[in-house]
Amino acid sequence: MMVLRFFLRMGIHLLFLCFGSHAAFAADHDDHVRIGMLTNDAPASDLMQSGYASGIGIDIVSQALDQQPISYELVPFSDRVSAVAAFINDDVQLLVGSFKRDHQK
Amino acid sequence: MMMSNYLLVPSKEITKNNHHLMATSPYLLDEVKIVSITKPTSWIVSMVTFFMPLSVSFVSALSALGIILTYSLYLSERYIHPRLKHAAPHPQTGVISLRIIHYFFWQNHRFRPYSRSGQWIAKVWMITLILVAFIFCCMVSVSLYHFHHSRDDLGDLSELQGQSVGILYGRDQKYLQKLKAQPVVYQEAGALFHALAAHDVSYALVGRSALERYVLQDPASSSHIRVSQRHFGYDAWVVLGHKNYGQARLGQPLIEVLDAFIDHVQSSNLAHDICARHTKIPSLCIF
Repeated sequence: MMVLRFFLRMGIHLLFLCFGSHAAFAADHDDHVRIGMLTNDAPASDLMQSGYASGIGIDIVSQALDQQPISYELVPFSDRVSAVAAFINDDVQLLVGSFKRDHQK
Repeated sequence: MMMSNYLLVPSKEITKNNHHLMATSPYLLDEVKIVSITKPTSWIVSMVTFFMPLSVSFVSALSALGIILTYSLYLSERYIHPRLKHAAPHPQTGVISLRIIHYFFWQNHRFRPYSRSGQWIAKVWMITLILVAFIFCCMVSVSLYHFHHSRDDLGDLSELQGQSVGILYGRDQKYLQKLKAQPVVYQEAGALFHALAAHDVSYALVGRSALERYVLQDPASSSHIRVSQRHFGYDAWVVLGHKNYGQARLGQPLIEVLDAFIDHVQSSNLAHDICARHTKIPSLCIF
């Protein structure tokens, strides 16, 4: 009986630990956004030789995120395939460039 | 914004198979153009190329008519007109033509047909000359119009049939396959334009903004680039994001925050300002 109670307590502690760490991870993970951008895709996104990122998509995303309590970093990609792969794998959370979708939602 | 005649480009390739990924509302509608490179030709060469087949038949018909009219005039005036009465009995036709033209036009209109038939032939001759001048002017105008407009316009989509068409990665290829064109996929617009200039592909399907950038980088290219007047669909540019990312921190998914911001910039003048900083066609951001 004592053993069972011990395992029950340990289980509950483990459960809390798991949820807690997940929440903590989520909060930490959500604090910082990695934005994938195409380097040679003006006027959507472009990376100058000086390292300055510009473009319509970049401006929109940066202005939107400046108003939010999160930080962000730009991750440059020179080709679409690697950018999309990184996005699908969650290496970057946003993807900016001349990526298209059907206009009719 | 003008609606397209053909919609080539709906593309949800990325989000279609990944349901945890989403796209924002479009922030720019980029017109899709069909571009080809023409061989650089001078105005004169192009003019002659177009003009030559017409001018051969035109000059032939004109020469025949001129010979008939002048010879008829000569015959009707040969024994009546005081100047021609003393001419040789059967001079060569070419000499007679030149002589009559010379008398008629350059000798202060001394030549007046004496016979009634001669007077009628002279009137027909003058009217014919006016018509010929008119037709000649029309031919020059048409050839000039052809020279300028054939460079800009792609006559028909059937031109693409059997041709290699360069496209960017992510573009829907079904429509091109229906046209029996051969799509060739490129990773970025620079490589696509390079392939087009090197004649690796006959045509390119590109957005207007990419085309504008290419011409801006290489102004010399604009002289031999041929762009469709109509646009064949449009690309709706979006930001892609993970579906629930940001929920814990922001109280709503980040993608929704971006969506709301895009709606805001489009309803205000901000979209125009942002676009004007990066493109010469800021109207693409307002719709």
